[in-house]
Amino acid sequence: MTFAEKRADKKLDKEIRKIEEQQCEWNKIKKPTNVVINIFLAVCSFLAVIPFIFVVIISLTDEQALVMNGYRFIPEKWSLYAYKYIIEAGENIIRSYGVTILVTIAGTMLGLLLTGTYAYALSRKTYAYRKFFTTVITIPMMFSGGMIANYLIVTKVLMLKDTVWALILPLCLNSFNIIVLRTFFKTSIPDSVVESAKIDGASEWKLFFKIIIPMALPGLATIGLFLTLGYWNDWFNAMMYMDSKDWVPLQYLLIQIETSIDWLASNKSMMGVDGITAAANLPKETIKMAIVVISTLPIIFAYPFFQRYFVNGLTIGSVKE
Amino acid sequence: MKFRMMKKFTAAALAVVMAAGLLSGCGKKADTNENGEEVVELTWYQVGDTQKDAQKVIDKANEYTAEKIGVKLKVINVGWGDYNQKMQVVINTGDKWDMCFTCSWSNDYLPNVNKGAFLELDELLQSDGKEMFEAIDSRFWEAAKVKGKIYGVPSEKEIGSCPMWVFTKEYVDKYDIPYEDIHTLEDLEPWLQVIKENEPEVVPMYLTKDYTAPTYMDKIQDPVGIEYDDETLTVKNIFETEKMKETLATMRKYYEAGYINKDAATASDDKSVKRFVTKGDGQPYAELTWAETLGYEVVSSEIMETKVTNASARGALTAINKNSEHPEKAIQFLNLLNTDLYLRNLLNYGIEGEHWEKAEPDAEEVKAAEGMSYIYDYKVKLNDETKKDYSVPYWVQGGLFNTYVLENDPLDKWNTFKEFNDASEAAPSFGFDFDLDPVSTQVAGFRNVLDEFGKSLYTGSVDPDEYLPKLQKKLEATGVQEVIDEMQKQIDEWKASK
Amino acid sequence: MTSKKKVPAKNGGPGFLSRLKMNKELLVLSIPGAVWFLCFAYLPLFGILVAFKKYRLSGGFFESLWNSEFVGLENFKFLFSSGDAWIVLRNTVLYNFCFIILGVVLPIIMALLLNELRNKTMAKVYQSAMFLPYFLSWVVVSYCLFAFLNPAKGYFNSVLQQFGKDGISWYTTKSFWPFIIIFMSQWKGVGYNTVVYLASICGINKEYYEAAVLDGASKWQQIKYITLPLLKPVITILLIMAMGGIFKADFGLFYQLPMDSGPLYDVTNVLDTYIFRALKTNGELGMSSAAALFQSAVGFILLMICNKIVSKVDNENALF
Repeated sequence: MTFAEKRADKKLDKEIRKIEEQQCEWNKIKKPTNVVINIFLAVCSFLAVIPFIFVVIISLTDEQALVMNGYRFIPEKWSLYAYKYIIEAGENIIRSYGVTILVTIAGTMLGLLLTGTYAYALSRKTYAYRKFFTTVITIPMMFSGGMIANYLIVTKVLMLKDTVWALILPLCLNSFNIIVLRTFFKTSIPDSVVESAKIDGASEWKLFFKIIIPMALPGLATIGLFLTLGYWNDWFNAMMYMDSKDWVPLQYLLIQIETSIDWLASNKSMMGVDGITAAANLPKETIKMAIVVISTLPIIFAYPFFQRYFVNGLTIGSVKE
Repeated sequence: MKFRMMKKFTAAALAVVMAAGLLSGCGKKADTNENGEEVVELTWYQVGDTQKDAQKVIDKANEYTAEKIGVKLKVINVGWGDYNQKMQVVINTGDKWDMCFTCSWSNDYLPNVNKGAFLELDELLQSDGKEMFEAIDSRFWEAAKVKGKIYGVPSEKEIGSCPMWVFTKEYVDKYDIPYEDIHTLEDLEPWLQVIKENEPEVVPMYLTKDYTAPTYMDKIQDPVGIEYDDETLTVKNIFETEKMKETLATMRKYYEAGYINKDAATASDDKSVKRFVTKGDGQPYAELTWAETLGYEVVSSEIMETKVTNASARGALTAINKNSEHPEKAIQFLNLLNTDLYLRNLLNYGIEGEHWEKAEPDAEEVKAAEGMSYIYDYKVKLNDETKKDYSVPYWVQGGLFNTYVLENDPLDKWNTFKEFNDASEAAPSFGFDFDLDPVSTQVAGFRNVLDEFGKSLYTGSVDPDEYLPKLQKKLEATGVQEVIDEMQKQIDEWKASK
Repeated sequence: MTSKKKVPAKNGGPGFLSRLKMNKELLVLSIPGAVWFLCFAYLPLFGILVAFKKYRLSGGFFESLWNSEFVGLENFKFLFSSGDAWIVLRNTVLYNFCFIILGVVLPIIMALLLNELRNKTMAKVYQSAMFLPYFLSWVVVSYCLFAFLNPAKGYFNSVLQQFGKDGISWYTTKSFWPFIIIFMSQWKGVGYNTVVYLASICGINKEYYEAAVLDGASKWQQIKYITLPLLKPVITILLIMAMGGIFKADFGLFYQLPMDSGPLYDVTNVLDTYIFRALKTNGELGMSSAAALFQSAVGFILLMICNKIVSKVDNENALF
């Protein structure tokens, strides 16, 4: 992209924004209504944030104080011990961070590409095999072969065990995302746009990248967000397919601790003293909460990132070219 | 411009995906030879979280085992909560593995044996595992038998389950309580009252949701089983036994008298709660462990005589895959592990000089322990800095009796364990395995019913006069009688064949 | 707004090859996805067979599956054998019904409100905040809830006691839990569910609103006559898909949150928790497959019925 082009681009963006702003001011809600809505949403947000704040506080509580007093909003004694412990035990967590980020980015990109192309084809009314390919995705939405069969296919047929692909591929497509995106394409792209492009002789490939994607950015951003969250929160595939410890994502690290604590607590009577000694080796409550904080913080920014693409009026952008 | 952006995006996506592919491409291993002998790699699944220094320790162990028996280990650790599920997948898909941890409460031994997952070991034990077969208490081997065949190598530890009352020493001393004479639930009453009257801050009897009232029965298939003193081997539903009915009534009495914490049925152990007595499942020197986790001294007293049941004696075993390519090597390795001090302690405590040091026991202790079995020349002093990098549950890999004891444990710890085991009496049903195939549908329904009412009844939180009939009714609807009949049939056959 | 199809694709009667040629480009676009579905969704489907077998090992998986005894519907029986079957089914369906309704209504309200806010920065802050609960696992959420409901030291009971009332034993009192469960599920999901509607609203052509404003339509009228009708396709499609999941429940919500408390089973035991407990003792592979198959099959039938109804009313918005 040349400098001149870039500048022209920026200028155009600015103009668009200006037009938008004018439109907006023109059709905005009344100020008092705005205040009421703000208050309502602020209360909702507050309710949503409390537990997270709580988790942060617990992670900063002194372990001894936690044992003595249980969970408190204002702990008796603060402590950075949990975070220190994590930094000292470093390596693992940093590596897991890397794995999670790599898998999330690669997976989201691959997923968007596959979901986008598939959904686009389904959204085209003239596509002769539309019905067939819709059926193809509907059946797996309901039926699955189960854990054992999946494991066999992934490890024995696709040979993905202990490779990063086992973390990326199983999650990159799903029927739900395709159908949602297809609906987005159908509703936000007027047939006339597609038809006029076809008359101009554009190939489907070009049509998809040049016109559809820019026009359906909010939809794509939604799916992108879903994919990102899916990858970020995934631990199951790591549990199933990763025997080597090189590819442990952050969430699995956390879930392992959570389930271990939970399991040992509920099987205490069967294990007797053995259970107590095993539990004694597990990280303490504050450390667990610190890991929750550490693993959640970065992903909080995923939403604003994708939300940038929730902009109206992109039709103008596509018509321009 | 948008098109270009998309092109860039695609290129970037491809680049990232390919980079990921490259990174994952490395790390393949080939079998190596040493001393002319071929070294085989054994895959070993263990329960418990991976330790930071695990690979280091295993490398060290591999040096030794490769030299000695031509075996290298590939240990795969699976977290406590995931072990069941993961092993179900690994075993059922016929995945490649050689050895795995199994027991009566995780990756369950009996169903796996019935399913045909584990290798019969009897012959191999005679040819390649004779030393360990003789070293380990025969009753453990007895317990490992299913329909007369052995399918797992037991880890030698405490053989029986031993429910105990655990008293806080502070109050025992203060009120001069003859705790050693307190055994049954009823024995507790006067002292609960004393505490209730004099110590308003203290919960006289602190119970949590995993509490089960003292049970004088081998619950072969909860809630169905055989009472400990019933030599006639009559299968009963525990909630229909007089003893359990009495116990539940007593629990209710205590609960209503305010001896028991109100949230018992849902509480998880809150260590900040001051308590006088609680129930624990013990073993010799369990007081030391309890005291350590609680932060104050405790004393304990046995509720009943220790009984040996299949479940208690199958506390930890290592099984070999039926389709393993190297069953002899696996048994040779287990044999070495269970008889070789160096290897056992290496895997148990980590590398000497790094994770622990040898410590000389007191001369007096040595003298006192003379002539006892399982006494070693050294104790283990764990390195405070590095012990967190390698700390495995001691009984997952092998028996306890050929490990050094920890510095603050008594030198004769394993001898005491052995005496404890010898003194434990077998329940009449010991050795009987219930094949639940004919009634698996009914059994599947039990857990839901038991979890719904069990905790509340055991802790006295609800009135047994009202809820016991409810529980019974649901159990009957689920088919408890069919299970009793089936078990009675099987146990009669077993008795006849004995 | 729709004009007639330009390419005579379906009924024009061209042969297979020419049809293939005509759809070549779109076919290329759908092939990668189809291959994925073949590998990750269709190949493993043979696993369903386990539901009809008494699975015993005799070598590899396929060998074992082949040699295992065929037991017909035996594995399904445990789902209905206990006296609780009715309660469990009732709970599962009723809760899911609530979730489906609320899962449409609340997010749409949120999306509309967020969209109308004058200050877009605050909108972002609110939406991000409401997203947070989604990241906390049910285990962590259950700890937090316990801090409030804990009978001995919980915040709610200390407040009650300050007002001179008796504390409530939250984890044994049934009547609160349907409310708690529904509230918590929406609390956790509303941020996530709002995104789809927010994005859909953004995708609506501004010209419609401009025209409406020129005609003097109020905000309410705009929502009623433009936004909601244009959201209909998305709402319909999400509803249809939600119907398919009506027999599946979020395990953590019903197991972790009430701390697996027995006295609450009447209102917290759902299919997923029931199956989990049933198979905890037994672990028969065929039974877990059967349970999953049952949930899927019923969901599939419901989904097809809903789709049929929708396609009768409004073919455009149906799933297929």
